Amino acid sequence: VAARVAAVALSCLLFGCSSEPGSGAPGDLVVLDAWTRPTPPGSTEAAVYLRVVNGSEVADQLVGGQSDRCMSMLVHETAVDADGVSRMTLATPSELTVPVGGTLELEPSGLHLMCTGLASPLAVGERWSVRLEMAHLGVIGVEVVVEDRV
Amino acid sequence: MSTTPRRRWRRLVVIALAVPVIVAAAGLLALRLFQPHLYSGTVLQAPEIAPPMEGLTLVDGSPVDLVALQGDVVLVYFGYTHCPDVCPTTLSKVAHALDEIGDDADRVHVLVVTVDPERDLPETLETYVTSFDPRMRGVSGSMADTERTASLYGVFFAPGERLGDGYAVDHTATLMGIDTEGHLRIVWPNSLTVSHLASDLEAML
Repeated sequence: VAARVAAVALSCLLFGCSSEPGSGAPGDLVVLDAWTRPTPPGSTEAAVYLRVVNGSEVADQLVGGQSDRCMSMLVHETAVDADGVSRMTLATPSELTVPVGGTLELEPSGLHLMCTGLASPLAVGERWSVRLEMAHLGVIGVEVVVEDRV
Repeated sequence: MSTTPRRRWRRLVVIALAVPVIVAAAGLLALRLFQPHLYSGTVLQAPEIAPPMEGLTLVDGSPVDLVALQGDVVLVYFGYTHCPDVCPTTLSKVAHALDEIGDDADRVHVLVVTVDPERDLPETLETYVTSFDPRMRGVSGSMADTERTASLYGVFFAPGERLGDGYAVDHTATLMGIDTEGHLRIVWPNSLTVSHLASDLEAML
C-alpha cells in the first residue's frame, strides 16, 4: 500500500494529478471534470465543481478540501425553492456520500466546494491544485481548470 | 402544336403533387411569422410599468432612470458579490446571451442590484458585474432603499447562514425583464438557458 501511495504521489509530482476523464484505473475512486469560473478582481470566493465517481468497492464521503489558494474549503449547497429564493447552507455529510458504483456531482446551483479567503484571482485557462479530503480514501490531489462555462 | 394526352397527364400529376407542397410550405411560413414567441420565462399577464428604483444609484452616483431606458430592454437581477454559485451562474448566462444576439445587445441594459449593500461598495459591485460583461451595471443604495425596491420587484432577501468568516444572503434569484415600453414583463428562473434567454431577448426587442 505504501508503495502504491508513493507511486501515486510520484506520478502527481511528475505529471500533475489530472482530473481529466480516464485518469483513474477501474476499481478506483476518481475525481473528474473539476472546474471553476474565473473570479472577478477582488473576489475572495470561488465555487469549485467536480464529479466524484466511485468505482471502488467501498462507499466514501467527501469531507472538504484544502488548497494553497484558499483559506478554507467546505462543501456548500445552494437550494432554490419554488418561489425562486436561493439559500446557501453547509452540505450535510449524508449529501456527500458516494456509494459504491455511484457518482457525487458538484454542479452550479447545487453542491459546490467553496473556496473562501481566495488569495489571488483565478483567470481563464489557469489550473490550480486542490487536495480533496475523502472520509475513507484520504486525500486526493485534483487539478482544477478555470473556465468560462455556463 | 397540340399536347399529347400523355404529356397532359404528366402535367396534371406535377400540379397535383406541387400544389399541396406549396400550400404546406406557405402555411408553415405563416405559422412561423405569425405565431407568438413562446417565452421560456414567466410572462406577467397584467404587466405594469417597472417600479422606479428610488434612492438607488449607478457607480457614478447617478440615479437609475428607467424611463430614459424605454425603447430598449432592461434586465434586472438582484444579487451580491460574495455570492459564489447562483449569481455567477446567472450573470454568466446573461453575458453569453448578450454575445449570442450580437449588435442587438446594444439595446439591452443589464442592472445588477446588490442585496448586500453593507459589504458591496459601489466600486466593488461595478468591478464584479463588469467582469461578466462590460455592458452590465451595478446598482446600489442604502439598506432601506434596497429593501423597498426589492419588495416592489417581488424580491425577497435576508442574511442567511454564517459561512466561514462571512455570511450568505438568501435572495430571490430570478432574472427580470422590462420590455421596450417599460413594463416589467418576464421573470426567468435561475435554471434558464443561454439560448432561451437569447431568443427571448430577440423577441422582446
